[in-house]
Amino acid sequence: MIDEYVESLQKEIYVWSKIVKNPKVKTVFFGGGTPSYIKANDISLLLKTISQSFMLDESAEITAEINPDDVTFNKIYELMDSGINRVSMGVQSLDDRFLKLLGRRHNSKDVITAYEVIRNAGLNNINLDLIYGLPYQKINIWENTVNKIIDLNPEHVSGYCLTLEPGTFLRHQVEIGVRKKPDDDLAADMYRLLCEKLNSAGYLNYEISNWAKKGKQSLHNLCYWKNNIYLGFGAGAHSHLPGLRYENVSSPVKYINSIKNIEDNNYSDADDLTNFRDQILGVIKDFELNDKQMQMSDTMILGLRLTEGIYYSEFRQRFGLNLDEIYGNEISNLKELDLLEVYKLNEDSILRLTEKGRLLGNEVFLKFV
Amino acid sequence: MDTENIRNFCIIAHIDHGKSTLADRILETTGTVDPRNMTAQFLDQMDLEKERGITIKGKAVRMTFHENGEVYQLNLIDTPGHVDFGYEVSRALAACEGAILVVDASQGIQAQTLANAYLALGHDLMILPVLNKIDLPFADPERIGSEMVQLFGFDSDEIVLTSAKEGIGISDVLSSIVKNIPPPKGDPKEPLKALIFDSSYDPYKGVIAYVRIFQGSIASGTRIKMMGSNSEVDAIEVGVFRPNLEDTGMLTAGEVGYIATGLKTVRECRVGDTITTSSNGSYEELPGYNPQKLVVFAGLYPSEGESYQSLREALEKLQLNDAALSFEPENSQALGFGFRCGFLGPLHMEIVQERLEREYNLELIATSPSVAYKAIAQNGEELTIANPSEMPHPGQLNKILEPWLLATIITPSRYIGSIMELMTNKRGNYKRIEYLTQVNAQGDSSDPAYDARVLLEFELPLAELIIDFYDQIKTRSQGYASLDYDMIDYKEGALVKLDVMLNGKVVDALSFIVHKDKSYALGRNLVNKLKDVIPRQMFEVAIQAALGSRIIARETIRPLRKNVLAKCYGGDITRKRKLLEKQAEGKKRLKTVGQVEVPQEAFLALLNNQK
Repeated sequence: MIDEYVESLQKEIYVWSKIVKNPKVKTVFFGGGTPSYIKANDISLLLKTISQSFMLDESAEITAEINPDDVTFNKIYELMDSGINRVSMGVQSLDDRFLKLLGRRHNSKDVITAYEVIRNAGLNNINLDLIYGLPYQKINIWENTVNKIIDLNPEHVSGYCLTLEPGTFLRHQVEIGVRKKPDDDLAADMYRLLCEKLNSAGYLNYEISNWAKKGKQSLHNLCYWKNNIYLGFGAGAHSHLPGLRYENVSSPVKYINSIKNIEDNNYSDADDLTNFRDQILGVIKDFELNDKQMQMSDTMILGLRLTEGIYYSEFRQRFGLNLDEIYGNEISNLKELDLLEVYKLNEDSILRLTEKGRLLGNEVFLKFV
Repeated sequence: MDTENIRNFCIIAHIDHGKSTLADRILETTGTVDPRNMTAQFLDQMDLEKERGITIKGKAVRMTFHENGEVYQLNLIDTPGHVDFGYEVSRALAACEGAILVVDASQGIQAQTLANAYLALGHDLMILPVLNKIDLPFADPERIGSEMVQLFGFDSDEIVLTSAKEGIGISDVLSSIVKNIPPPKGDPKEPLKALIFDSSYDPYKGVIAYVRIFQGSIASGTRIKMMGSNSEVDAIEVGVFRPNLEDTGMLTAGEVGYIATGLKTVRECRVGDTITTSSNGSYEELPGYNPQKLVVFAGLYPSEGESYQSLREALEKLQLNDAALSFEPENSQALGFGFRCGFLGPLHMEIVQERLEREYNLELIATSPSVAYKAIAQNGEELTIANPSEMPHPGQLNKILEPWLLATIITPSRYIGSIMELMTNKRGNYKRIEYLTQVNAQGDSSDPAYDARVLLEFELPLAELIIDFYDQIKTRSQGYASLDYDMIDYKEGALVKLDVMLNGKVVDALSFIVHKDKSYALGRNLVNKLKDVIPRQMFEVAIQAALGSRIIARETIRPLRKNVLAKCYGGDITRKRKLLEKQAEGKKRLKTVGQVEVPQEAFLALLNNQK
């Protein structure tokens, strides 16, 4: 089935490249689901398809997600051979008890080993994902994890506070009372600790939950936060085109079948698009048309996550409107609450979260939806 | 008909002693209601009345009864039994010459029996004692009969034994009515004097006045005058209740019936008022006209802001049949737009609230009820305070008076201690104790019915009665004690206004007038509760309870430090935006006091807690 799935991906990539007229591609990200299902060979095939269908930038950032227990020298070599130049590894914690709680198959030793393998293979852009705010997690345990991560010296670190997503086992356990609800104040302390430690180790906190060494920000993720366009391929993938967001069907079987239904055709003519629109819609589970209002709202909610904030000039260029015209009231109220600030850079003004606002982001975002 | 053959009477009883069933049997026996149309509790048409076994709305019915070759006109006036409707009861009693006093042969005399019987005696009514439910296995007519003899001085052979349920003794009751209740007096040739003892609203005929003609007569089309309210209308229809309205064109002295007035509101047609003719009318009113006094007040708010208009309409409709209900628009920061309503008592309030919710499908939030205080200012001015927010500043106050009542409790003796304790907690003053019966020597001593039955009297502030009192009496006596009360007077009290503040701003829905000795406990309680129900804000929130400018309790809600989506990548945006939209929608429903956002449920939790 993996082969069929990869074939479907190739076809989907090709079809969309025709629809969007082969633009330049600056980043590629292989991830979501269980990354170990896909072989280095498949990644190589897919990257080939991408570079044949799109204008793949020579210096494009090409990331693969990987689990610590999947890492071998061979695998990393193969990945690098196929064009991967960045790896993102889900570490979560360096305390085995919490790894177990999270249902991970790896332990802390696996992480250290995997990291060294990747590093020794010569890859110079590694991201490590961490989670804090776990039930029963004390601050010293978290500090320990952070110290060890800094010792490893990755180029990029993502630190996420645990959210009890609906439908997850942990949330269920908290709801029925067999597990304590994580303490928000403690989580705030953990966040602060992470900021302090990473900042003094030379990392830039360029987004609420992301840190990078200079020049190593994730270009791919910056694309999301700047509310730019992207195409997602595969079951459950999300895409954003001007004025349109859509999501593919989530079942891989359904995905494969609906891709098969798309006629092999010459899709280059825009008029053809209407002809096989129904076939493409078969792949799409859900879509949403975004009017200007919603696009502005998304630009705010996403852009304010970035430390560099939102440039007034960029907003004006994109929407033809002054930021203060649209959100003047909201901005001044939030400034009063010390959640937002405006600073001047050369001739431009920039809107961004204050340090306090960063941890209270939702209170700010709420005002822009 | 010759007044000699008219009998006007009512039935008085404690709740569930069988008043309505007895009325049903009387209606059947006299052939007033066709058995095919008979439903249980025929006169109690409201669902709420049937369910609770109480009479809320007064009614009247004319019956024809044959005995010893004579034809009698019997007028049964059904009255609400509860003290909240005491004034209406007293007007109904004033319209009668006799009363049937019904007592449950197993439960014995209860507090309400006593109150109503005394009221009837006060109106010089002939009282016919009836022991009902004699068919029940636990009935003890002998013992209960001796209670009645002891308390009211009846002869034991006067007491009629009945089982209204089984139809036993009904004709004895009817014979006793004819034999013992005196016929009405009053000259049909004198100027008209008709007592309004109740009223209702009919969409076609307007306000219908329920009347007892004391002298003179009235024909339809006559111009009439309400002497108390001084308003004049044409009597568009005159008739009797059989039990539906039956146009007879005429009513004369001694009779009970109705006058349709065409009035659109009950305000000009008050219970207790006297109707006379516009020309050649009486100059003298019947005694006892009093505008009804509202003693309990509460804010009623729709739980959804949009239902404000529906609430107004519902109150207006309700008022058509409930002249005592009063309401005025009120605006609360915390609860939005609503009405400050005045009630005759706690039961009246409960009934109005329940009718609004059931008959008009409204969801209501009621503020904690308050009694009508009198504030005497330094300059001697007297203010009636129906809402804690109207209370003058302590500096301008000379004193505050609060309404007191005399509470009568009848209980098996084993609960005396517990009830005494409750009374002490409720600021009650013990007045007296009376043993109604001695220990039931044949009984089982583990059964409360074995105990001597005791009457206790206390004076008590009304404010203590309207919050969690009745339930306490029931709990403490395992349901055996009964309670009745009567307003007595206003007395000076060490009362203070307790305010709750959020960051220095008073929360209007949470101000209380409370006895000084209880203010600290209440303040502490409110502050603690609020701390649990107010979500953390982006700044520190001080919750304070204050007496005037003096803070008596304080809690702090520490500022919210963290609320942010940890992750937001390509696949998350739509979902997270929807989540934020939902949260923003929720925020709109928050009430803002000062800068503090409080969910309405928080107020609800606190107000329910005070009931």
